[in-house]
Amino acid sequence: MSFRRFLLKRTLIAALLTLIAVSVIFATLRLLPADPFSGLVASGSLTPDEVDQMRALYGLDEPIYVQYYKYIQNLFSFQFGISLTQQRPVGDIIIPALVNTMVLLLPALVATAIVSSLAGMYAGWNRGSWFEQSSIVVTTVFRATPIFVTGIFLLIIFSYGLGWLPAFGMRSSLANPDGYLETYLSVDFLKHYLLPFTATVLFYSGDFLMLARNSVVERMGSEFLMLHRAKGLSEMEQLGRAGRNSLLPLVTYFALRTGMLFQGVITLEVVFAWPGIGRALVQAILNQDYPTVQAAVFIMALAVIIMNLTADVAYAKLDPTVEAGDV
Amino acid sequence: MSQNNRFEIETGTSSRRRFIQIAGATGLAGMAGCGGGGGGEGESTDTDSGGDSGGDSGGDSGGDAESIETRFWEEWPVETKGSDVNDEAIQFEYTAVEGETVPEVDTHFAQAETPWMREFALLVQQSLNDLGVPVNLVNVQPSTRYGEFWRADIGHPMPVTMNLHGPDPQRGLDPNPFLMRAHPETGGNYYNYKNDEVTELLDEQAQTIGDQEARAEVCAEVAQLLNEDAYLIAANFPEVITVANTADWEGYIPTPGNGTTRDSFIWTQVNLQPQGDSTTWVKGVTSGIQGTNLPFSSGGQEEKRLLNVYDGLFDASPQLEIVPALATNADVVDDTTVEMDLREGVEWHDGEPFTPQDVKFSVEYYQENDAPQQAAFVRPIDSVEIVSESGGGRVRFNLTEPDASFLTQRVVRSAIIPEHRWSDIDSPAQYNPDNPVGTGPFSFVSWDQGSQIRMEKHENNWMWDDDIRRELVGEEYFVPGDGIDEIVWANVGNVSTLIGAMQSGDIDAIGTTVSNAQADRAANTSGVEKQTARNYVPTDVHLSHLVPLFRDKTFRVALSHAFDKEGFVENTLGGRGEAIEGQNLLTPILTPYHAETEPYEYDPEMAQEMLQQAGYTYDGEDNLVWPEGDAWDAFAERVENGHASREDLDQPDFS
Repeated sequence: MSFRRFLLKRTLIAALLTLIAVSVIFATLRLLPADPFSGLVASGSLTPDEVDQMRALYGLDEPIYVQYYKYIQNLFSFQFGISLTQQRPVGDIIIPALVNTMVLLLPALVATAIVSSLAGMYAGWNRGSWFEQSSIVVTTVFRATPIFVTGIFLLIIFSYGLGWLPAFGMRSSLANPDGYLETYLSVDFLKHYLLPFTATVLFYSGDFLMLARNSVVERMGSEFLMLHRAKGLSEMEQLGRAGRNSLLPLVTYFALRTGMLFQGVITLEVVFAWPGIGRALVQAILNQDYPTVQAAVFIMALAVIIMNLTADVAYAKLDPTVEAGDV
Repeated sequence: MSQNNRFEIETGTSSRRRFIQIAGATGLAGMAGCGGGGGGEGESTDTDSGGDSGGDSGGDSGGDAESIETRFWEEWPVETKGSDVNDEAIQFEYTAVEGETVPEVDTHFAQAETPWMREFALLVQQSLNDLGVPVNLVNVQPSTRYGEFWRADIGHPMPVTMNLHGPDPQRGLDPNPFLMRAHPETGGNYYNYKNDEVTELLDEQAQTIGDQEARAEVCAEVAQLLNEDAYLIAANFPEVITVANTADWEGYIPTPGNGTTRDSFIWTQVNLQPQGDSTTWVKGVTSGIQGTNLPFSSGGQEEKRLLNVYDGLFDASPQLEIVPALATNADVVDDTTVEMDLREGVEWHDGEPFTPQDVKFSVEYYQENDAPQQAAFVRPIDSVEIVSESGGGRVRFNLTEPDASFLTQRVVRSAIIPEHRWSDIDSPAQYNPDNPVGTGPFSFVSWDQGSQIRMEKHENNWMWDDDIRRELVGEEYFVPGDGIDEIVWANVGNVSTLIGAMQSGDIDAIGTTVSNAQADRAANTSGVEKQTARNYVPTDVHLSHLVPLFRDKTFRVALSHAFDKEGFVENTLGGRGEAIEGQNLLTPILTPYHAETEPYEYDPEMAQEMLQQAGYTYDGEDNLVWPEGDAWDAFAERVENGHASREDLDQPDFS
């Protein structure tokens, strides 16, 4: 009963947050002094009258509250409309870019979450060891270095220097694959994938490692572990028990990070010329392509909010005290 | 007083300005603490509400300083400009106040435009500083600047802006794109320049159709008048520097303005012959296309790259001459009627034959649906008739008025689309063809948003015929052979990666301009060369002729003398460019329309002297001070006139 109430409350808050987020982006874009069509008059392509007709085509001639109402209505029915500058539905622009971003970031996040968390637990269990100290230093360095700097170093070493891996893009300019399967399951793609993947893994590794380590360190010396030791479990078995108890912060952090993946990592995308959502969004902002920006930001905000909600729920589920109705 | 003024300059709209003036009258006037301050406030309110002419008649009591605001000085033949719309059309303040220090001038530039734009901005700043005028440099985003600061309706909403024009072919083919910007009725008159003598001559040349020499003579007169009036600063024609692999590919064509590898002209890719293993030419670029709809794109890379898919009626050759494309010749029947024979045997990429009906359809379709990218082509066309269907067919264009640029820049900008592919599209402005079909030398293969576009050779196009191509590109550049099979634009994101990719051999050419140093770096790799081409688009500095400072011809002339064009080309561009003689935007390549104009000798000391003779003075810190007393009246007279110097008006030497 109380879990349901908890869930309901959280969902309501999430919905409200989404509404606020999309309203803010709507207002921000309308505060810009020009729109993409004013440039057409400047370049002499169209007369002011013709530009007014273009504006009308996209409903930009309507009063601002009508635009706002339609905007909210369309967003929540997932109708994103047609781009102002690209002559095609916004979905056609955003979804492929989002797929490219997720293909890069999601496996990287999952990989680093698993590897770094395990390494972190092991480090915490062996406090003061050589492994603990060096792993903390290494991952902290990568966490503190901006991701594009790591990326540039990887490029300089493996691409320009050794010439082992290509320097840009998702695939070779000479390759011409057809469809998602051919695009993402090829040696060529793998070669292009390695460097940005590595940069991402290194960047996120510090967070998971530190979280896991600290969690395990906190559990050490706790009574339930003493009980396990008394039962005669091996070191590794004891670490397993301690690890399970350390999962809470990791799960929360993983969920939050996943939500943020939808924003892409713009600097990473620029350095590796990866055609992801970050670059698409920046392009759309520069072009003042309202529908694309609005839809992209909506999806990003929604992802973060939903993942936050998921984290809340997971937290509640993982922590048995919730089941007891004590939230 | 001066503090109040600066406060006003930073505020935006006129309503807010009034509010501040009211606030000033009630409260701030006391803070200003002197009679002069109060008087100044009263007077500017006066000018504002009364809208009468000039501050020179505004001063009502002898002891008060007079002032002149930024405003339109006369009526214009367009609704959005002119002295009766001053309240709406003036979006910034800049006021000359008798005996006060000349205030800071807001000066706009877009650093991202070229690798050396910042240095150029510093030169502009230096020139103004040398005359004692403080400068506030404002860096703006190239993408938003046109909508915001290049206002067709009211002109530049700031005193000074600088820019390197883009290499749109029309600018190298016809004098109109640059000259007509001095005409009060065009949207391109961002500097709000109005000089009746020039306007009349501009009208005359624009309607001189058929007689090139006569038109060129009028254009020469215009150029000389504008130069003499020092209407802006035309600084230089920077060379176009590009980088390409010349070991595996032969036949690069250095088209002026475009360079060997940029996208405004298609000559390099139809002339290129593979010498290595690959027949797919890969060009690295920094930004991708946003759609596949050429006529309805809103300006950007799509128009230029899709030029390879579509043909126009005529093309501009590497020598910037008009050469046949879909039309093989044009006959001027009378001032408003032109007939063209169309090329025989042309096929669309889907195999359908190209017919005169496609031309008629394209024009009507563009007019009906307001196609932004084709507006320049179809605007003067009243109707299209099919005269004959035999051979390739013959079409007649009836124009609404005589238009000298129709047979130059307008037909070159045309792109003809197939009726059978477009006639069913309801809302073409919201349409993105999966497979854009044209008649061009390359047919569309695929487009991956954000990463690449790929096209393949379309055998049927006439440009693949050695004899025809030799004729089109000229003996100097022609290389015989079958050409390339495929062309790929790979989106590499940024120039540093482009250079790295060039060195590692991932791309065959860089499709954007680079700085001299970047080109040299890339050319260190064997097989890679730096290539240069002349330019027909200038770097220039626009002065708003609404601003009293720039409305004073003496100041404009002085500024022309304080601007070191040659030093910039030598030092910053490393000699890679031409300093412009005089204030003339037309390139010497544009024959016969280019005319020699008298250069302004670089001599900042002489320039300062000129200003002092005209009544300006300098304070202890070498800041320029507006004239006072009789000299102020002389200044006001020059500003009122706008196009007369001290000598023209027989004013005495005030130094």
